[in-house]
Amino acid sequence: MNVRLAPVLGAGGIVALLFPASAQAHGIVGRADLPIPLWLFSWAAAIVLVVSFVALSVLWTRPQLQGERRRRLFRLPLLVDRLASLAGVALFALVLYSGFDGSQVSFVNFSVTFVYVIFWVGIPVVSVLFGDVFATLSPWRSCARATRSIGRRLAPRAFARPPLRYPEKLGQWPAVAVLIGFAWLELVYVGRDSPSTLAALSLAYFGVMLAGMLLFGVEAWTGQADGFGAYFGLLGRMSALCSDESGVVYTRRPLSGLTKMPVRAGTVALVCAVIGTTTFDGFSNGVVWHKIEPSLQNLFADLGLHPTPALELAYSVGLLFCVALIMGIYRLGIAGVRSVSRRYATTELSSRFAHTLVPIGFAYVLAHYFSLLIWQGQAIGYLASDPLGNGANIFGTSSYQIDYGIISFAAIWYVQVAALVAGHVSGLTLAHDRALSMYHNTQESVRSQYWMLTVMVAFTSFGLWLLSAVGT
Amino acid sequence: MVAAIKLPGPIVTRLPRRVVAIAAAAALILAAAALVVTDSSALGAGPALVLLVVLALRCYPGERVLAVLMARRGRQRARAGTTAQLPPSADITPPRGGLLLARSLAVRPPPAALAAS
Repeated sequence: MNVRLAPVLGAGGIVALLFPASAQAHGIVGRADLPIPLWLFSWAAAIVLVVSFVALSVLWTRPQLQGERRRRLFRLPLLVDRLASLAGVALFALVLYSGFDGSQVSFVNFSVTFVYVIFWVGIPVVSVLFGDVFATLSPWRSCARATRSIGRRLAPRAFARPPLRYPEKLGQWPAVAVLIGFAWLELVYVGRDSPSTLAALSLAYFGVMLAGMLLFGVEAWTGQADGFGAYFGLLGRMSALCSDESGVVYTRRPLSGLTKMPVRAGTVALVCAVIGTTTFDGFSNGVVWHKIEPSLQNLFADLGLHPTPALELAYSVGLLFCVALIMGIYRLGIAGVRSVSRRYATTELSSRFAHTLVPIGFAYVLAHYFSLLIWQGQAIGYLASDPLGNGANIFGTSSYQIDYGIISFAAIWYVQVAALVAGHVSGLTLAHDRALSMYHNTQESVRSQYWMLTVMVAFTSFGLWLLSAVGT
Repeated sequence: MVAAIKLPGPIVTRLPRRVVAIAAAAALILAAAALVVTDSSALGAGPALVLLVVLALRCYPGERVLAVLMARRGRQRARAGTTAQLPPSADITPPRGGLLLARSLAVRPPPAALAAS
């Protein structure tokens, strides 16, 4: 079997650049060895979506997900909540400590693997399984809540309410900027693998978040301006588990939490940014980008830029282009839905169907980073014992090695395909359910879903192509 | 069978020029991407492209079949709903013949002579 190792899709450029020693071993295989041609996968996935569309139209005749029916499970002890918050703060402190004081070789430093693998890829998976756990783990949120709590005891009047009101017009645009900024750091910035840079940026982010939460209120800021809080919160809405402020844990229908997703200014852009940045991670490792990128870099170099800024600018253009492309595909679908009936304005339709993109975003993330999580995630085993990379062996696991045979390349590919198809079928289901609640005319409802089907098929084919094209 | 089911009337809204323009642009981009990629994986864009072109031409393939299936499903649900609302059959079966006599006797008071003895 012609298995060709290449630097990565899931790991993207990051693994190849951050973990050069291991990149070759754990990079996703080039897809030259697929049992059937890629286009057949794409057509098969499209058929699955079309069959789902027909089944939904015929069998799912009433809205089922619009009301979030909860069933109480148990109350989480306050101690568990506090301990989880403390664990979040402690891990953040370890990221700072290892980043500043540890070895500056990225693949032996705890901070780099923790931020790019455990935090960026692991938390989304955990959020979809168990709900919005980041709300508890978030170090800046925990510190802001603790500060507010202490402040209320010492100066009840001053801390009774946030001094400023969060501007409604700003909505989730700051979160969009944070996500694109993080993607830029991960995929574009040349110094991304420097632990001290990562620690400094983390500290700066912590400071901004803490100040914002104290000025505008913890919840208002977390849901709108904290890019990670907003992103993980969206994914948590997919989960069958949720909890309320008093710590009571409930079950609900999977995905039903998304139907109650508040849509603010920038929400659509936020979801598109999730998909678009992941898209660029795959795209930038593919053959098409490698054909385009040198010309783009030369263009900026001709304008007088040094090679490194020219390279970063070329990648920045690619990143923004991918986000814009995803927004364009979605807007095209929405324009099609609008053409079916004039009852709703395009902006309103765009907001009302925005939640259907969330499962797609998660599908892209899971498909894209699955191998990174499975393989590079194991590195935390030895990095926990030696976070600074100076030869320590705190837990006796520093000699632990990554087992690359834990899952085969073929299995990874099938997991990726399954994730993509399941994510898009979920998106289609949500869109169908929303259409049923919006259109009382069956024909309008069905026709609107033809357009959403097209959007989902386009995203699926595109996602499969991105996954398959890496390193080929 | 298909013709027997009355479909809702056609939607009179026109497809905006902008949608057609965007669809055409998207098709061009996909075609250009297919040319750049120059291998069989470009065929993967086929389903999305076909759907886009068909919808841009205001065709909704299979719409009538879907309407038929949905109508059939609706009738089945209505029937099932009616059946489900009926009370248990034992309660609604009207008494006839011997059962009718027995029921009539059962509600009468016993004869006075028997009661006295």
